[in-house]
Amino acid sequence: MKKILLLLLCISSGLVAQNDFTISGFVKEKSSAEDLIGANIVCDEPRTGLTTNAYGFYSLTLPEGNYTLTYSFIGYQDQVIEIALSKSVRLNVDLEPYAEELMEVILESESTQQVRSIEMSVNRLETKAVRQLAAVGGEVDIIKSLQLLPGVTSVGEGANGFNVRGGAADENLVLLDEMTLYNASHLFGFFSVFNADAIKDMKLYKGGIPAEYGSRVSSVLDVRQKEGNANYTETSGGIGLISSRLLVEGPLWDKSSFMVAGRRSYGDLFLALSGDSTINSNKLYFYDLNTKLNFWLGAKDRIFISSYMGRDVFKFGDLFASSWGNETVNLRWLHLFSDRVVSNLSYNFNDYDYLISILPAGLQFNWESKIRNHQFKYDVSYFQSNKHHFKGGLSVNKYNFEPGIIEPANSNSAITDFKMRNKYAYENALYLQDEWKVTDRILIKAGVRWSSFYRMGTDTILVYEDDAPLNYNATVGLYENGTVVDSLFYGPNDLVKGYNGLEPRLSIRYQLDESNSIKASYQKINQYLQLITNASSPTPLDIWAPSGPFFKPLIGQQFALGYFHTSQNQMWEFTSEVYYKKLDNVIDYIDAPDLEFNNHLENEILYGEGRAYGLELMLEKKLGKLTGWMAYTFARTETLIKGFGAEEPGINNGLWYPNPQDKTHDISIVAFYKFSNKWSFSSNFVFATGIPTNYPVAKYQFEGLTVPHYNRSRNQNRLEDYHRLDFAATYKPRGNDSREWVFSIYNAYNRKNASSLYFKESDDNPGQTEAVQLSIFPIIPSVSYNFKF
Amino acid sequence: MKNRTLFTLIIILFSSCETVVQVDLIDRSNNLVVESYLEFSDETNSGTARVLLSLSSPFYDEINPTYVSNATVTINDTYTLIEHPDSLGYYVSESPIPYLGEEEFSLDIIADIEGKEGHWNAKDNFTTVPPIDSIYSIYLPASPPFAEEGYYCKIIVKDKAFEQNFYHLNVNVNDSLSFSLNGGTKRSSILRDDLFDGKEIDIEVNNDPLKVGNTLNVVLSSISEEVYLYYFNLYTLLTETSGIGAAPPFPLTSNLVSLNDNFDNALGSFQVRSTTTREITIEE
Repeated sequence: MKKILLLLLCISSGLVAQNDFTISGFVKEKSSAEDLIGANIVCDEPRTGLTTNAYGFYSLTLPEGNYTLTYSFIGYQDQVIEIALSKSVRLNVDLEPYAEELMEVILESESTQQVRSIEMSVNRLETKAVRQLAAVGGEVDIIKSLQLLPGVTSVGEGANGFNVRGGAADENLVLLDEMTLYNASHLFGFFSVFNADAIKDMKLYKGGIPAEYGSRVSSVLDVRQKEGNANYTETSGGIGLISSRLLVEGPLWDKSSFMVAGRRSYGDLFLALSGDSTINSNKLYFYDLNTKLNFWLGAKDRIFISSYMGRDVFKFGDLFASSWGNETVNLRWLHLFSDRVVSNLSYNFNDYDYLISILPAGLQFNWESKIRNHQFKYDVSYFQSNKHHFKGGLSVNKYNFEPGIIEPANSNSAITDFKMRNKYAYENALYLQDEWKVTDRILIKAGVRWSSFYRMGTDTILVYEDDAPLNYNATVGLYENGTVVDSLFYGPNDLVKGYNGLEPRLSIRYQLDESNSIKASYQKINQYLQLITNASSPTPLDIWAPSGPFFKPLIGQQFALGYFHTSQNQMWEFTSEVYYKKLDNVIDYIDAPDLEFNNHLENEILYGEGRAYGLELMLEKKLGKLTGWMAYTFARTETLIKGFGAEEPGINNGLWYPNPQDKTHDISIVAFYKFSNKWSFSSNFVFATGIPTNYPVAKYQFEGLTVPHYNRSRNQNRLEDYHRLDFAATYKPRGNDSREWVFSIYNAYNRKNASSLYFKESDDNPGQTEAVQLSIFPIIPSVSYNFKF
Repeated sequence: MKNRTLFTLIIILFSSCETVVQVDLIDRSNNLVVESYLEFSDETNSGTARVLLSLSSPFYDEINPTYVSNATVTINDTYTLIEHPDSLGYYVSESPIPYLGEEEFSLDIIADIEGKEGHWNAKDNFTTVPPIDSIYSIYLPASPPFAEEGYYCKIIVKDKAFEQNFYHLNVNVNDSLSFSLNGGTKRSSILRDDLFDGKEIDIEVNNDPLKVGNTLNVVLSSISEEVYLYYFNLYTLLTETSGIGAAPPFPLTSNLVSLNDNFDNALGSFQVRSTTTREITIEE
C-alpha cells in the first residue's frame, strides 16, 4: 500500500503548482459536532466546489489569493467565509440548523449538487423526512421509504429485501458503517433492521457505483451511524405500536463521543399477559442494538468502533422455534497524512446465523446455519488539486460458510447428526480511481477495480460424466442429476477454484450551464456470493453460496445516461435517467429444485443471461411549505435460460421470461406540507404494475387432492396492479423536536392489494375451484410518540 | 420445510386477507391422469393392483372428473387388469399378483380418448418395508397453534441401515383419511431416512387429536425415490408456490410416458409399494 501511496504522491508532485495551497478540515453539525456527509463547499471565483466525504472531511487546493467559500448543507444555514490564502490551512466549519420557524425545507432526496455532482443513479433520503412518512404500525422504515424513489421496488408488502433496477434482493450490498449485513429485515421482511434514530446518513447507489465498492451487481446501500453528540449528552427515543426505541449519545473526552441505541418489539410482552400457559410461553420479538464510539487522537487521527447486533426470536408452542440475526463490529482508524491525503484502515467482522428447532414428536431437531466473514480494508484519498481527487485501496475478505448443521434436539429424537459441507473462501479487491475535473463543464470519474475470489478447501467436489451436473431426460420431461464418475478431495487451504476480473467504472458529467447537466456512467461488477432460493422474496433462513467449480460468479454491466435540471431558485429539480443492464452467469432453478440439506446444488441450477432496462423520471419540489416529488419508472427485467440441444427446454422453453421483480410501471407521489411549527403533514400515493405470476392451464384430481396443472412457461401472467395512499400528521406540542406525536394511516382507502394469487378447491363450495388473492395490509392507523431531552 | 413453516407463521402472525377473484385462464385440459398402485402386503407376499384413469379438466369446471373407460391396463405385460363394473375408469387386478423377486415393475395403458388412441408406459422399482414394531396412543395437552389437546397415536419402526429408504404413511381414522394440511386439504405423509438412517423412530402419525373409541389404521409403505419425489413435488406445488414471494409453480411430471404422438405424457404416477398395516382403537 505504501508503494501505491508513493506513486500517488509522485504523480501529484508534477501536477501541483508550487504556489497552490490547501484548505482542508471537517464540516460538522454545530450542536452535536456530528460530521456532515455530503456538505457542499463552493468557491465563488474560480467557480469550483466539492462535497465532504463519509467522514465529513474536505480538501480544496487553490492558488494563493483571496477567496469566498460558501459551506452549505440541506436544512442548515449557509456559512460564508472569506479567506486570504497564503499557506495551507485547516478550517473546520460548524453549520447550524435553520431555526424551526424558518425551516420550511424538510426534504432532501438527492444530493443538492445533483446538477454539478459527478454522481448519478444515487438515491438519498434524510431520516428526518423518512420519519414523517406513514409506515405500517408507525414503524419508521428506511428501506420501505427508499421504495418511494425511482428504480427501487420490492416484490410486495412484507417481502424481504428490496430490488434495484430489476435486480434480485441478493444483488444489493447493504453496509452499515462498512459492515456487511446479510439480512437487513426483521419479521421476515415486514420491517428493516435500521433503527432510524441511530442513522445519520444513507446513500443508495443504483448505478455509476464507485470503484471502492464491489461484490454485488445491482446496488450499494451505504448507511452510516451517528457518531454521537460530542458537545452534550442527549437522550431521544420513541414509543410505537410495534416497538420502542431509546438512544443515548454524548461526549466522552476531548472531542470524542459515544452513541448507544436500542429498539425492541413487544409482541411477546402482550402474549405474556395471557393466563393461558399455551399462549404466554410463545415468543415473538426482535431487537436491535447499535453502538458507536468516536475517538479523536490528536488532530490527525480518529478511531471509530461501531457495532450492530440484531435478532428475531420466535417460539410457537412446543413444535417450532427459530432465531436469526446479525452480529457485526467495525474498527476504523482514520488518519490524515497531510491536508490532502487521508487514509482509512478498517477491520470488519460480520456474523449472520440462524437456528431453527423443529420439534415433531420423535423427530425433534435443531438446524443451525452461519456465515462469517473477516474483512480488512485500507483506503487512501488524495485530494491532489481541485482538478484531481485520487482514491485507491484494497480489501481482503475471509469467508466461512456453515450452511447447515442438524442435531437431535433431545435424547428421544431419532434424528442423527447431519452436517452440510462447510465452505471457505477469500475475496480480495484492489482499486484505483480519479475524479478529474477536465474543464469547468466536464467532470470525469474513472476507476478500475480488480477483484478475485478463491474457494478453498477443505472440500470434496464431484466429477460428473461429460462435466454435466444435470441432464435432461426428454422421455419424462425432467432434469435429473448428472452421473458422478469421481470425486476430488481438497485439503485445508487447497485452492478449489479461483476467479478474478477487472471491473472498470466510468462516470462523466457534462454541465450545460448552472442549471443543466448531462451524465453518463458505465460499471462492471463481479458478484461471488449468491443467496440460494427459488422464491421471489428470500427468507432470513436462506443460505448464501460462494462461487466455486460449478457456481460461476454473476457478472453485471450497466450503462446509464441522464439529464439533470435544477431551477434557478433551487426550488425545482428534475432528473431523468435511462439504463441498460446486462448480466452473465445468471442462475435459475429447475422446476421443483431440492435446495434443502443439499450439498450438491449444481444438480438444481441452470445458467443463462439477464437483462434489465428502464427509464426513471423524477420531479422534485425542494423549497417552500409544500415539498415532495413525483417519480415514474418504466422498467423491464428478464432472464434467458436456454437448454443444451433441441430437446432440452431450459426454463420457459428457452425464451426470455420476466423476473419475479419485474414491474413495468411504477409511480410514486410524495408530498410534505408544513402547516405550522406544530403541525406538518405528509402523504404518498404509489402505483405499480402487478408482479409476474403463473396461472394454471387445467386441473386434475389425485388421491382426492385438486391439483392445478401448469405448463412450462414461467411468469407469463401478472397479479393485479398495486396502488395505495397513505397519510401522516406530525404534531410537535412545543414547536420543536423535543416532543413529537406522529399519527399515520397506511393504505387509507383499504385497498386489498394482491401479495400473491393461488388456485385451489373452494372451502365454502366443495367441488368448485377458485383463484384466491392474498392481501397483507388493510387500512392501518397508528400513532407513535417521539421524545428528545 | 423451512419455507412451508415460515409461510404458515406469516399467515398466523399477520392479519392477511383472502379474496376470491376471477382471472382469465388458458385451457389446456384433457390430459390422461393416472392413479396407479401395485401394493405388496408384508403378510401375504402377493400384491394387488388398482388403477384409476381420468382426464384433466378446465380449472374453473366443477370438480367432477371424466373417467376413462374401456382401456387396456397391464402389469409387466402379464397381468391384465379389469375395469370395475361399478366404477368407470377404475381397474383392478383379478387375482393376487405373486411377488417373484422382481426389482422393477411396469404398467402399460392403451386408451381411446376423443377418438384417438393413446399408449402410455411407466416403470417403478420395488422396495421392502420394515415392520411396524408397535403402535400406541398417548394423551397430550394442546400446543397452539399447531396441535390441539387429545389422543395421539405413535408408531415405532426400525429403519433399515446403510440404504436410502423412502416411506409413505397413510392414516385413516374411522375409515376416513386423517392427515390435514393448511386447514383442509387432506393428504398422506412421506418420509426419507437421510436424518435417521438405521435408527428406531417413534413418531406421531395423526395431526388431529383422536377421541376415545376412534379406530386408527396406519399403512406404512416403502416407496421408490422417484415416487417420493413425486409426492414431495406435489405437496410443494400445493403448499409452497403460494404466499408472499413464493417460488414459482411448475408442471408436475410423472413417470407415465406417452409412447405415441397423439398425447403428452400422462399426469399422476405409477407406484410399486410394499406395505405393512397396524390398527388401534383409542381407549381411556
